[in-house]
Amino acid sequence: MHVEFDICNACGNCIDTCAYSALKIYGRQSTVEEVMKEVEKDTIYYNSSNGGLTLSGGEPMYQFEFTQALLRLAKEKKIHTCIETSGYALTEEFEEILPFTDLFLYDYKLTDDFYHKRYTKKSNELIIKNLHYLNQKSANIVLRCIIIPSINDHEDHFNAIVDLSNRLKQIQAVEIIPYHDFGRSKYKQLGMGEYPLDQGSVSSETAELWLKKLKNMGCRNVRLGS
Amino acid sequence: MSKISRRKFITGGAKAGGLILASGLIPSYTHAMQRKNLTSGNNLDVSPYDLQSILFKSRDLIRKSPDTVCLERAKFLTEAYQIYQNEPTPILRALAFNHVLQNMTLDLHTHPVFAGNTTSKPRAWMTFPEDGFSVPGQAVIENPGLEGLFNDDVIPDEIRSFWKGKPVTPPTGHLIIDNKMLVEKGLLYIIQKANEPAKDDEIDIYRKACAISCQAVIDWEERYAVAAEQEMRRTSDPIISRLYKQISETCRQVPAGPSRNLYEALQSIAIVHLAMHFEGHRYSVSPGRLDQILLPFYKQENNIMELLAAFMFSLYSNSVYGSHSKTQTITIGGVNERGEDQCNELTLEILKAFDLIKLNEPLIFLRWHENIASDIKQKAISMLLAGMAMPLLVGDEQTAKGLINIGVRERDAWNYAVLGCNELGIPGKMIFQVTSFNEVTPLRKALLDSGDSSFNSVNDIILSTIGYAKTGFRSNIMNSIEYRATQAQAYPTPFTSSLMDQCLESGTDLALKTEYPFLNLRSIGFTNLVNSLAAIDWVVFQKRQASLEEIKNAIENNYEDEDLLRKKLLDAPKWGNDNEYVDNFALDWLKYRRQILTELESELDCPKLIEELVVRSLHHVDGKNIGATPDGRYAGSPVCDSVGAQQGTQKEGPTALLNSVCKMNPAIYWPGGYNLNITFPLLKSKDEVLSEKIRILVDTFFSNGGQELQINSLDEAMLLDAISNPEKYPFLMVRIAGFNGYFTELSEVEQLEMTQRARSCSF
Repeated sequence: MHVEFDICNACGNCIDTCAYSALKIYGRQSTVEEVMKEVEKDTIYYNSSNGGLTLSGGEPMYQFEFTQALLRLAKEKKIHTCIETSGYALTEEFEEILPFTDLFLYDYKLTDDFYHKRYTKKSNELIIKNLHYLNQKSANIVLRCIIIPSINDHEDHFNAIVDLSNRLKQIQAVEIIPYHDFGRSKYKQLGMGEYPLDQGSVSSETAELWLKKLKNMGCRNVRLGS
Repeated sequence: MSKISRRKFITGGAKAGGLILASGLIPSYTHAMQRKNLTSGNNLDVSPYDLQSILFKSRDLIRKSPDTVCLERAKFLTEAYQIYQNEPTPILRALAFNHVLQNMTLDLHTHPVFAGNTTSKPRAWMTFPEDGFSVPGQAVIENPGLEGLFNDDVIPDEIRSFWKGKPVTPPTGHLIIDNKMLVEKGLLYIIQKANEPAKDDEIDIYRKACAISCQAVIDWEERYAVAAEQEMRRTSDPIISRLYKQISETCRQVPAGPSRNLYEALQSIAIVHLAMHFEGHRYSVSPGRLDQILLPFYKQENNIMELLAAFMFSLYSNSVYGSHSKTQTITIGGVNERGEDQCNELTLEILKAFDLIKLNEPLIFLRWHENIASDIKQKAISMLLAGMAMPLLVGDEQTAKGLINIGVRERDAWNYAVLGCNELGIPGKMIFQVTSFNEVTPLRKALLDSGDSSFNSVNDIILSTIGYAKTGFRSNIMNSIEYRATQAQAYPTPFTSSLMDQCLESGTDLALKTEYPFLNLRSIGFTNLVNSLAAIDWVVFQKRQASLEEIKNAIENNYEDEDLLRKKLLDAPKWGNDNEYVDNFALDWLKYRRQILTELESELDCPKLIEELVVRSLHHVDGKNIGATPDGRYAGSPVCDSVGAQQGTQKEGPTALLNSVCKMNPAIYWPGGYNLNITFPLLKSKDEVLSEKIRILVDTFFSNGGQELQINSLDEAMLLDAISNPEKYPFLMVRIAGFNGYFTELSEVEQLEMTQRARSCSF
């Protein structure tokens, strides 16, 4: 099966005419109330497992108003809230969601701004500023560090992670996320063109080595994440 | 008393009738009573290592053995029927039972730890003229190679012709006797009770049959004692010799007298268990709450786990249907009526024993309650996530409540045990008597047979469905009652009955009456009905994507050239996804269903009707006979494998599935229990965080109103590799629906089914 993404306007008519359900549109329009209704179905499990609502990505701060409204409503319902963010958003916006956000899963991708710009197309200045801001405002933070071989698995970046973990007291844990290439098939399905990274997933042995290294370097509360 | 003199004695009895037989039992009785005074011996005096190597060797031998037929039971039964034809039926059955047991080939080689064998060769099929020498439908689904097993020349003509015209009955079983009483008192105690004078002749006859058959089992065990003594002298292996010595000593103590240690208790339960097969009980004869029964005999010894594994192996290795599982179930754990944890040292030892021996049966059901010990929960979850598919979990709270709702006394209700795939019983008091109740066919009839084209809403269709359902249920219930009467009249089982409460006193066979005489209704296609009703409403009345006429035509023609309409029906919301719209159809139907059954209970003056969902592999068997349904299911394809989502329709993850199921109050609408399949990814290395999450998920499900949960942890790539390279995965175990199996021994259909489940598992 092949989709001509150049001329596809995502009308969805092909879905109804395919008898074997080979095509599907992922994602849907929804109101804050609709999402909350879905979330509340599992309240009993959040209560027994210390679980809750996590907004993840894409980038939830990209839809700031919706994110803010959802977090506010969840807090009203006494549901634990968490947001997974790249940190690339206005500091004022982080300020606004602070009262409704119990935990920030905060990405820390690259220390050297030159390479940060090369790989993410943006500077890390604002991201680092926001991280310090959240720390200062006593937000709970888990620093999520995706490690990609030959891109950011080097000494300088590791040193910076260790440094942050020791200096920013609000960092509850540092999670090492070994790179995987699950995105490859998504690129294909969504017609996003050539997959930009040509390496495969990291083995669990390598991930363990990174973890050991960071521990030896004095990183506080470091663990593997996924 | 020698084997020969006993045979003579039986022949004499045939001429003189039952009375002489009963008095003839006395010498044997006092003989064994004297032994009761022996001091309690130690448990089995063999090292764990030696026991393990014996067990593993035997297990591997059995798994390599082909399915064959053992004619001995049919042959000796037929012989006895000819000799004793003038006796009253219960006495005839007891004498025939005795004749079979005293003539069967004894096998102490296949399993040298416990005495008792059901067939002359391992993995042979016992022969039951009572069921017309048939291979059960599910056995063929599970292993198509079994289909021709009883082809004409296998059963000799003289046997076949003798039974021609005699009633054919279902394979009974599905019971748990009072094993606690057995190990504490022994069979001589029952004989003593049976010899008490009765009010009338009929009771007297039945009690005599009980006494004869109990003595038959004692004598059978005596044969093993003698044989083990002989083998002991013959063997050159010192360990085997020691085992035979202990077997021979043990067989002279139990099951006649009370058990004095764990080994004797297990031997007593095992031999009586196997004897019940000889009497005619096939599927789901279960030992009950083993950790509770055995606790008085527990002493800390180094080979407890191996001894328990050997007991499980005794149940496994003694086939009724060859390689086809007879779904016998051990129940462990749980709380009492005060909510106090009943787990003990043996609960964990039983789990560890399964972990060691890795058999697909007996099944192990863990009674789950928030109060049971956390180490038991952890052990269970770690076994499940490692892909053992055992233990199966049953929720104490809802199960006991359901039993209380149908009239079981509180104390008995909290003593429940699982007795088959997931059927419920109460040891010695409540057996499982089943009739099927097809829920989705009435809807097909409403649509196709009623000729009614004036349905203006789905409610009109439901009303018509109720009418057809009532007719269908009524006829099944009446058939089932008739079957029970035939069973009790033609093939009573006085031995097994004597180990149930009240049967001996009242002189009534268990097929007719136990303390809680219910009739279980096995639901077929519950999920398919719910999905069908929702699909019709969605497509016809809500979205107006097609007319009812079009759907009728499509299901009549098995969706031929109707792929697009079928897709629309498939796209409608489906049960098991925590979707209020479709879930309400389920909740409404349950109420209608209960109403129909309440009406039938008073109309037919029948035992209380108990709704339940038990599948084994019957979703295939049942599905074969059901035409296409409006949920998009093709004719002949399987109905749902559990009370949860239909295969391939679970889209919203595990909590959504559990939430849908928890909306039903099982204590009211499924008092006989249900099974719920859930699939998690296989955990390849220990992960305490994930294990704890699953533990919490299970705890929450049961405290939120769940009744049963069976967990598979599967890895699709591993299953596919196992299909190509079976030799690499000898112990890859899966839970299919109501039974567990070694994945590599399953039929292609079931391997495919499990692979699909692995693929669609979303966590």
